Amino acid sequence: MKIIACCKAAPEEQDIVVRDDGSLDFSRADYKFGSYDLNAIEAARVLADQVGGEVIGLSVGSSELANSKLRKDALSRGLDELVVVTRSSVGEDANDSVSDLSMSDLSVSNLDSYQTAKLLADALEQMGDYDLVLCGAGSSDFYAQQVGNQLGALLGITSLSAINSIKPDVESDAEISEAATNIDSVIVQRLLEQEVQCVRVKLPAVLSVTSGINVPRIAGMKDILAAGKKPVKELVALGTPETSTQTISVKAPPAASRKQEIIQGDANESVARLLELASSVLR
Amino acid sequence: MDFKLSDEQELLVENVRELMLRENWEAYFAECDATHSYPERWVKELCELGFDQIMLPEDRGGLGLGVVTLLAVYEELGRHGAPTYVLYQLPGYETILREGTEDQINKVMSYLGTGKQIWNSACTEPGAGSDVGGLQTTYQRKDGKIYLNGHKTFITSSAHVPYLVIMARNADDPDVFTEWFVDMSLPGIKKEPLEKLGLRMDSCCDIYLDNVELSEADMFGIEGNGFKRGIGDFDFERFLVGACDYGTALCAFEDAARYANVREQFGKTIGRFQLNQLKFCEMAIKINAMKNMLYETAWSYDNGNMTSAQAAMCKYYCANAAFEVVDDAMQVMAGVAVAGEHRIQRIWRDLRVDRVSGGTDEMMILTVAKGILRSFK
Amino acid sequence: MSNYSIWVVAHEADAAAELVSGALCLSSNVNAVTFGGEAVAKAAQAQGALTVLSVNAIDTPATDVSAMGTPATDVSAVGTSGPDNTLKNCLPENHSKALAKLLQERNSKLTIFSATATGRLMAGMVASHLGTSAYNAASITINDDTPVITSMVYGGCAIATRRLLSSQAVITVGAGVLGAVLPESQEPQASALSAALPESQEPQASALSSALPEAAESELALSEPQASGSIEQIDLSVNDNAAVVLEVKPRKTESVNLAAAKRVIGVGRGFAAKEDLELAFNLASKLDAELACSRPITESENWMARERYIGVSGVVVKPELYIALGISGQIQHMVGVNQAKTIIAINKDKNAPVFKQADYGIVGDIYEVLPVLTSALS
Repeated sequence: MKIIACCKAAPEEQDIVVRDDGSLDFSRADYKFGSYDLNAIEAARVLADQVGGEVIGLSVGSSELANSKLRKDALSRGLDELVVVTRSSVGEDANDSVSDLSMSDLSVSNLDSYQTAKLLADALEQMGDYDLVLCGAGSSDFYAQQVGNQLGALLGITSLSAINSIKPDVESDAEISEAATNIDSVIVQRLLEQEVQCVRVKLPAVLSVTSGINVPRIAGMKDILAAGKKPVKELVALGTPETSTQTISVKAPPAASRKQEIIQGDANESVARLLELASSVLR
Repeated sequence: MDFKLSDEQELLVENVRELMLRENWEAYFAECDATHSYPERWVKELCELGFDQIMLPEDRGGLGLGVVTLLAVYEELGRHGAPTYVLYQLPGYETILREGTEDQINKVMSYLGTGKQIWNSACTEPGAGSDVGGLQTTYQRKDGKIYLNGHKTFITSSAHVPYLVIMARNADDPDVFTEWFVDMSLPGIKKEPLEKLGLRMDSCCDIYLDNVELSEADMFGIEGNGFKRGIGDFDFERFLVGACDYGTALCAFEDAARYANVREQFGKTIGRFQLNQLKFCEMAIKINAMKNMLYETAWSYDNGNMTSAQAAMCKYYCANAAFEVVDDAMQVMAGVAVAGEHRIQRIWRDLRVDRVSGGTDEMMILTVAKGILRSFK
Repeated sequence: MSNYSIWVVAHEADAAAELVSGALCLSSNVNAVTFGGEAVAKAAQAQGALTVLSVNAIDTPATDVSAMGTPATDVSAVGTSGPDNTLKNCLPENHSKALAKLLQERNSKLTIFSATATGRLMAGMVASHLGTSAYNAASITINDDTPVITSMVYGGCAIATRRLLSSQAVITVGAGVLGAVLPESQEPQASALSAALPESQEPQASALSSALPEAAESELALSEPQASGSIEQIDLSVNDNAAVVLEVKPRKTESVNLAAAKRVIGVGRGFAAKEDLELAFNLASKLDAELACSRPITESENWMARERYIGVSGVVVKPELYIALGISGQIQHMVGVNQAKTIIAINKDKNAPVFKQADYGIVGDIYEVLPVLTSALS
């Protein structure tokens, strides 16, 4: 089974600094693959190990994808191979015209979900046949939660989201190892707000998994060392579709001013003091 | 000169960090420390990531990485308040592979990946601390068997390890020192646990040996080479102590730095008061000095030329500098550190022990001095 | 008020009502496509949609259920299907291609879906067919016939304000965003559901007025419901290779309405074991507060239901009082509560970021403070 796991590198949230004027400073934030993407990679690996198959990571981005450590990080988490798609030149495909200085801190101009899905679809066309494409719940930066949905539609295959479990569609477990090359559908569970759906999905399909579908493994040391030897293919996107948005600003909302009255001391004293200060809200 | 770690080393460190952040380990460590228990669950998870294979040679299924990589991992673990002092056995395969019989090697290797404590060496006795040569434990051959008699003390990890490598002198030829790979479940062995001021997640016992019956196959290394072997392998152990101390000092230092930027008195954060700034300056210098000394020594080890003087320097300097850093950090955090249950209390106690355990400061000084002066002859 | 063409797509009555009435605040030209039968269509119509196109359900035979894998662990015994029988076997998402074509033909300038998993999925698929992106809007205005929306980004750190340039924009909108507050009850009319037959094409004014639920007067911020819009039954073709629903089980969701709770207590990683949550539960009882949690508690530890997770990818609440217990205060969680009127935090770590975001804080061990606090409140 050939499974593609889509992933996106985004600035590490913890290291983004909010300036006094609310604009964002990314200078200390390294790029990392989002945690939701790791769920997709893990799900792909588990399924591939179960039925026999390979997992290929696929990522669309810019210069950050040239970073060897970033690549090895993804490869160490269960990928057999990584394909990175970068655009021919950032300026040319200038997208998302910026009308606010705060955006100029970003070294990468950001693609919207349609553009990303289109570039992923183009790349998949070059990658030959595949059985399944997995995406995370959303990217860690913009969390639009749409690339997977939009990708399926562009490819003309089934797109489903909120996937909480994926099983090969076979009669019994014994069939699984034999069925490796013949699995043409999977049974998935979708975790919706009010119900759980059990759905049969014909492959190939695009599935966006929930953040609760698994706990992504921490890369073992052996896998980290092996990562550097795994293949990385570089594709150049030939053209990016037009953007659908203009970003006016990206700003941290003004923080509500809080009293910040901190009480210390032993439990009895602290509680007494708290009841003094906050009696109106606690009664 | 490139001070940067490789991609792989950075990823190893980041993954160790992920492990430390995934769970509230501090609660577990506090409990283990309070109950004098070995944090097996934590060590097991580390081993699942491959920690106990870092220095195991590749032909034994290990990663064959060097001490620089090991140090980077120790540093990160220590920063998160982890008791790296319990890990000393895991990187130490070189000894067992060099000295052990195939049977002894297999016994030790069978524990790989479990996170359990495996073995330690036992030299110290009530009458033989710094003066290892003064030991009185004897071995004697009788009717084709060997009988071990004596009393070892302050033996780390001895409550739970399945094996101890015990140094003894030949009862019939007292200048001959030999080590024995002893199965701790044998009759005649009595263990009495000792409470310690610090390093409490690793046990410490008095070991009484009363006619413990061994066979020739239990000899560890070469007859008569016991003393040299034991002393020779102290170097790596001393380096590891330095690495542990540096890591935990980082933890206390960072706790204090964050605190100083937040805690306010007299209208400003306490980090802005000069007396505290002096402390931070000196703490930072010591941290930096420890870091560089350790990494250079690690690099020497990986290049095959670490000296006893270097190793002793690491232990002596780091045990003391780390203790000073933690002591200053404790002073900065003041009430929050000395009352309640802040982890710095455990770190402070642990570090005080390291100026004695694993070789006293005084012995380190002699080793350093001798080594340095020798190079000027 | 502009005449900007807005289409609402809904598959649930509550959402249909809210989205239509909300869209009417943006434009007078609001239409709807509904899935799920009469009740949903009527809800849209009742709020004033000019045209309501009600998609006829396609009832494919239920597939052999024994082909299923392990049932979800949080699901109670197999019972009825979802809220509406007609959804049982065909997902609304399976009509995405035909739906996009319809919206194109009707020249919808802005199509609004609800921000549920289904709504989002439909939005994305439709957006692809329309050659644009689907965005989630935390707020929306129309300036010069161009939608301007805001969304939370970077884990809740910042808000992005964007102008949608596409001539056929697509957005998803969560409950409460479009501002209109719903009447108390929108129970689907059971008798109308059992028949999955296409209804008569004529709008039946008299039948409609009797089917409308009572409107709670003070709660409404809407214009008078205009029952003059028409409901038209349509057929939409199904995508090729559409996924087949084998079974639908209602979720044993904890019916907790965090958004409506006046007081909320959040538990975090400071709790070492599931049993210890009892301390928080006792406090919650005393204060008549709802219990909620940060992400690790529901996701890695699985100690509480996902419905109780507050944060950037969970629930956002605006209670009068929020008490954070053993929570460090990372933005991903705090963004879900920082609109609370008063925030109290209890945490062992003096340096925890939560203290900068709280009105009152106790630096202390929750295991010691909670019992004392709980008993002091008697």
